[in-house]
Amino acid sequence: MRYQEIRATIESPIQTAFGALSPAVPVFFDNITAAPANTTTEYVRVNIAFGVTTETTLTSNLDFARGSVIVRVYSEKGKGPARSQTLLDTAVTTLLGLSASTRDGSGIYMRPGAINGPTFSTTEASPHLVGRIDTSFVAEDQD
Amino acid sequence: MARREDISKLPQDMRELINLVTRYAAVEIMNDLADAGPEWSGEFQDSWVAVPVGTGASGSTGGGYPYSLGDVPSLSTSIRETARVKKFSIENTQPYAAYALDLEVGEFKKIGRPAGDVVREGSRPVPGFRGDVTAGGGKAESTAELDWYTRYVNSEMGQAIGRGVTFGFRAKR
Repeated sequence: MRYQEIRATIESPIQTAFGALSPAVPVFFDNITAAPANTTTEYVRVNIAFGVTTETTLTSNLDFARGSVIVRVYSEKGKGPARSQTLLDTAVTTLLGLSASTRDGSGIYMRPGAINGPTFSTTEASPHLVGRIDTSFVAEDQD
Repeated sequence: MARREDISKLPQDMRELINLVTRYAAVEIMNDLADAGPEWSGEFQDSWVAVPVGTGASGSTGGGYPYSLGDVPSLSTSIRETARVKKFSIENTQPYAAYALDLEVGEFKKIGRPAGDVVREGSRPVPGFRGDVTAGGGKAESTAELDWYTRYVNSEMGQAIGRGVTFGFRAKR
């Protein structure tokens, strides 16, 4: 099981999509320190968690993983939800695009599940409105 | 909802089996959530309940971790209730549940020492998500990984349901 390949299959298109926005929005992945607290700069955090790696009853291929992707977008508070939702649109479109992988005997076959959200939260002291979506995924290492 | 006409053909003991399997699955999920989630005082861990969605259920809901079948109400075996697809809503009754589930940003104050194992120590943004603790430069502690709940629901809950089905059938042998 190549966890890193699965992670890259998810992270790379997200990085590319937010990098293509004008201005580009920085994306922080697991184990990378995010933007400093209390900055009003917008940014995105992506967490990938693996759940079940092998499910013998599901498929004969043991290189099969389930997990979840959580995307949080931090946009400026007090300016309405529009910007947050625009950023979430980018995330949703990118996650849906992960379904393009095919069962062709090589690489990672990836299928995201239903996308939950968005939900929004903030606190009085927070400079950000945080929008959040999550989805499950199944990934099969075909190599 | 399943077709009531089909359900009406099921004998009573089969309807009871469906309910038993559902209750066992609920117990498995509640125990998994309690086990995987944060454990500071134990209060959150002991606050999972399975609330019947339909009518005619009997018995009390909730108890304490580890949960058992007695902590999940028995469901009605009427045709209408057996045909109901969504039978339980599994919830945590603590008012701070959304923070514990990493669904909302909050500000956290450390009180005492955690009863559970600490999985991360360091600093947490203020405000921030409960599990967003990174090493170095702080005294924040987390007893469950960030997004533990979402990970469980998205990728591990199916196994609990499978165990519930197995236990339900075994109990009826």
